Amino acid sequence: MAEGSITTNVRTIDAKTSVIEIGGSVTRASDGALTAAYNEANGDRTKVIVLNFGGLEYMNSSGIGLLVTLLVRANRRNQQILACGLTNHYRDILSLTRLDEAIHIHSDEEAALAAAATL
Amino acid sequence: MTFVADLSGTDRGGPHRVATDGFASAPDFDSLIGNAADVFNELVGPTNFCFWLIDNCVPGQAHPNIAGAFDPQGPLAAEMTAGSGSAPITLSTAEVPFGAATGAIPLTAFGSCLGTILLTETIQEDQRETIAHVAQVLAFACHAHLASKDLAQLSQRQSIRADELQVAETIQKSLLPTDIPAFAGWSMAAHYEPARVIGGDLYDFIPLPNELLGIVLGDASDKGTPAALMMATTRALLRASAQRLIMPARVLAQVNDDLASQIPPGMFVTCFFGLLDTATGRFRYANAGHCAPVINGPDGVNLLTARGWPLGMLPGKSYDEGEIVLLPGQALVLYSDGLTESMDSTGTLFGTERILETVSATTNGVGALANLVERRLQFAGNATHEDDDITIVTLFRDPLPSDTEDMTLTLRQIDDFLVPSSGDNERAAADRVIASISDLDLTQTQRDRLHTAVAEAVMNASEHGNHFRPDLSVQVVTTETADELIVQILDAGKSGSISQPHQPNLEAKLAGEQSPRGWGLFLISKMVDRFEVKELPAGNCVELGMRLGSRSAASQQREHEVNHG
Repeated sequence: MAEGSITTNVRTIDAKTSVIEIGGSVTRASDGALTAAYNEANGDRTKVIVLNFGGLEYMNSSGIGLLVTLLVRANRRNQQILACGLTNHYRDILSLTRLDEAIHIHSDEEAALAAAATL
Repeated sequence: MTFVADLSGTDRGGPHRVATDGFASAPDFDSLIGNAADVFNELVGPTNFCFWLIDNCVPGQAHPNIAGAFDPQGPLAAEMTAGSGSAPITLSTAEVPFGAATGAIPLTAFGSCLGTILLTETIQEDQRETIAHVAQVLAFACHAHLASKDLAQLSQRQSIRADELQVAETIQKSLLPTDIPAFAGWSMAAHYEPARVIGGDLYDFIPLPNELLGIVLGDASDKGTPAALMMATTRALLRASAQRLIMPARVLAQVNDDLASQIPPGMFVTCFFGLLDTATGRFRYANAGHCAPVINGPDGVNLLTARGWPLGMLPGKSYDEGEIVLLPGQALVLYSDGLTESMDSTGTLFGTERILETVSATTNGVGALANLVERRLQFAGNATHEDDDITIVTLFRDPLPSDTEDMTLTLRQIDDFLVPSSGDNERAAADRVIASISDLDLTQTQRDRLHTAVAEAVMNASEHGNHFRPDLSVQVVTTETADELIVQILDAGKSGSISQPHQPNLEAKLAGEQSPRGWGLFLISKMVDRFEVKELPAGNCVELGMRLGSRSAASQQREHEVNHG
């Protein structure tokens, strides 16, 4: 993986839940990859999408803008976005930007999936 | 010039002695011709001949009694010269178009034909030897007078040449700055040593808006008056273009085009043009075939190279443009080839290596100049430099107070670098800043936040300040004070174009009513302990402050919230 690129991996947990593993850098250049991952994760009955940031190395404000875009799309489909695997720094950033009000943050994927099962 | 003397006289006899005495005592050329006329009057009688003397082989006019013209390149002149003597030559009207002339006596000296004595009477055989001898003495006398006249003319020409050189020197000196610019934090100096022949060097400081300073060092390919006039033209073109175009590569390209249409064939001007931002130390430069300046930087002494054709050779040329940051304590030395090509008594060139060595061993710019001048003088010894001007210009950024002996002030510049204005290198810039502060008392959280703040500021500067223009860079300066780490991010955008940060309206963004972007400034302001926007004369400066030693209350509170809540 070249520095500055994003990696994504989509896993379908069940009919209503999918996980997008996000690694590398999330910047303006990640738009296409992130959109493609979201589309792949988005089934007919998908209600929850978990963003697993365990492999995240770097995210800038453009990357945050992409998360907002993702949220807008998800909101239109009445979907819930959860996040996990964030470092303290990026949890800090999501908190400062109040994105954690729209994206429920969990410490790890297990916790996130457990929360998803209740939704 | 041709001297024609109509000879007249009645007496004959004793010509040999008369000729010798009269020719030798003639005080000037006219007197010599008068004496010669007297002698030939006695020898062959009046109205029977004339002198036809040729000065510098310029064809003369015919005597009224003799038709045609004497051709110094013609067969008669060749025959006279080949003979190298003064024996009279019998002319045939079929051979030489001299009308009534029937004979010629060559006037030759040292193998050169000075002219002839044309005769309308046949020379008596018993006179031939005498006439030949007289002609020979007359020829040498003529040669002596002509040489004397040439010497006088040469002296006059040299006097005129000296006057021209004086004018050239006056022109050149009038082009040189009378004052060295004074900017706070900078020491600048110049040394100009004119050659005897006026070498055509030019240096100039061009004040530009927004505390920018154009710095020129050029050299015309010719010498003397043409060089001085060409430098005057070049200086005027540079000043006009610099005011309008600012950027060095564009300035040189414009001046090259302007000069190419008016410069004499075979002439050109080498020229280095630098643009110094005296507020930040940024130095952009382009070079039209001039000597590469020397910079005494953190990596040692290096040549500041950039490619470009000399000015005036070919229109339509483009020039490479480079950019560096002159850090406190760094010196830049510009010089002309009069320095590198200065020779000692054995003919050895001063060269570039001696310049590099001298600058390397110098701790400040003014000292570099003085050391270079002194070393060249020691090198050259008694050898005089007459062929080319020697010009040296130094820029020196004064050290920060912490670099001086005043240790009561603790201000240390950690790093200063440039980042191209593109959309994907903010992370590398932030990485470099974080790497440069590894020894500072900062927590990992502070480092992470500073990384984000720097990256966002660099990204903003590239996009909104420099509009991703490849010819503009973002400057990142990292400084440490007693209790704060300061990172400055500078762009070349419109001053005052950075607004104050505000909390983005997330609800409006999620509702699609606002752009999902626009988080940068807000993030920056939240990542550091101090955020400040400063307007520069030629851009903006985002200044980030992170408290050292003891973490800020805000940072500690935020850490607590993240870690426990």
